[in-house]
Amino acid sequence: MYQKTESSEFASGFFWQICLLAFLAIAFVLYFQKILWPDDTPALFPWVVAAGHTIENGLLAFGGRPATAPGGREEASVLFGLLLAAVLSPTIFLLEWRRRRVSGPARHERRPLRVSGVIYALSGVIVLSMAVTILPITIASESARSGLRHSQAVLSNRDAVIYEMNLIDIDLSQFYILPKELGGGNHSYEGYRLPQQLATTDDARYIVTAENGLADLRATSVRFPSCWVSAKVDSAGTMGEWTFGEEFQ
Amino acid sequence: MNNTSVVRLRPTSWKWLVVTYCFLILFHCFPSSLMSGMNLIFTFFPPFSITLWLGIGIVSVSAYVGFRSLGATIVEPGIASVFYVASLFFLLPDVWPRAFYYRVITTPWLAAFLILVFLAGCLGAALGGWLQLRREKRQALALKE
Repeated sequence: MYQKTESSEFASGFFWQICLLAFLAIAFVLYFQKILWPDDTPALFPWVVAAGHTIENGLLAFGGRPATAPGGREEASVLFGLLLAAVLSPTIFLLEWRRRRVSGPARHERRPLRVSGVIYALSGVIVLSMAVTILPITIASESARSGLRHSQAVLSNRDAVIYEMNLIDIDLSQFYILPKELGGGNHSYEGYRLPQQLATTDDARYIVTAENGLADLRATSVRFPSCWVSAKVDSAGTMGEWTFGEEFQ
Repeated sequence: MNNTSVVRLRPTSWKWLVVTYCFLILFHCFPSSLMSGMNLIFTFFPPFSITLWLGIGIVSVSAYVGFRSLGATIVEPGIASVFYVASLFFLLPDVWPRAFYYRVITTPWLAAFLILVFLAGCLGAALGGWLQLRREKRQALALKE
């Protein structure tokens, strides 16, 4: 039967030190998280707090209310997160790693467990957690940002196209009303020719076709060539039957 | 037969039991609560992520203990894992309902769950013990040469 010798497994004082450390961790999880971060603020990612605050201020501004400054508790949690994740843990980890590399015993030599080793490992876990999660978070946030920019550009282009189609509608109405002697259609869209400055713009290219007393107006986006809008203009000059294609939907 | 190639039995060490429990708190619960508010993680991921989170954490910590301790330390990580999961009820109250997929926790299911946790701890420790034996064998061979 194997009899263990405590000295070969644990360093002197290791047992009570690890118990104290675990007790502190339990106290942290139980109380500090509930008091300091009742809203489940991620301590290692303080920028999430900043993002949340920005969104909150945006919503306040949307409701016509003034923006609020972060409270003391929020500032303390962000500062704690920054210090722990970006200063304390990497410093302990790198200094201890270097010390072990420079003056540590050989790898195959069995060393008793020490609290310094546990703290080193804990710092390593925190640093690695940060390092491993930062890349996916960066990729995801950059992708979300670029997606948002693209959707805003598409919506902005769609608005511009609708505005220009309304200008064309006014021109069509003028043509419809005017007699043929004055270059109009005399209550018809037949023979209408789209002016060059309206036919092609920075935002879209437009085509007007007259059919059965109605004008069919179709716009194809220049910025997003797969996107298109079509509408029909009736004899009263009212636009209807709007159809939006691809990303304009 | 080389004595490094057999499992060396030893009496149950209550110190390793406590140390395993402390390791689980320090290396599993504490970083998890730092990484994010646990609710945030649990909200975004499907319920089985809790099982993965618990299983991977318990097996890894138990494997380290099995690897680091002298001789075969198998039962201690298992018991410590059960205590750890029980204390999560107070530390991270959201873990338990999600671990049971929001079903009513009845005694048979609770017993089955705790037995599974115990087995996960023992499995991790056995894995660590096996790795320790392999290392000792390699070292013994290197010394002979």
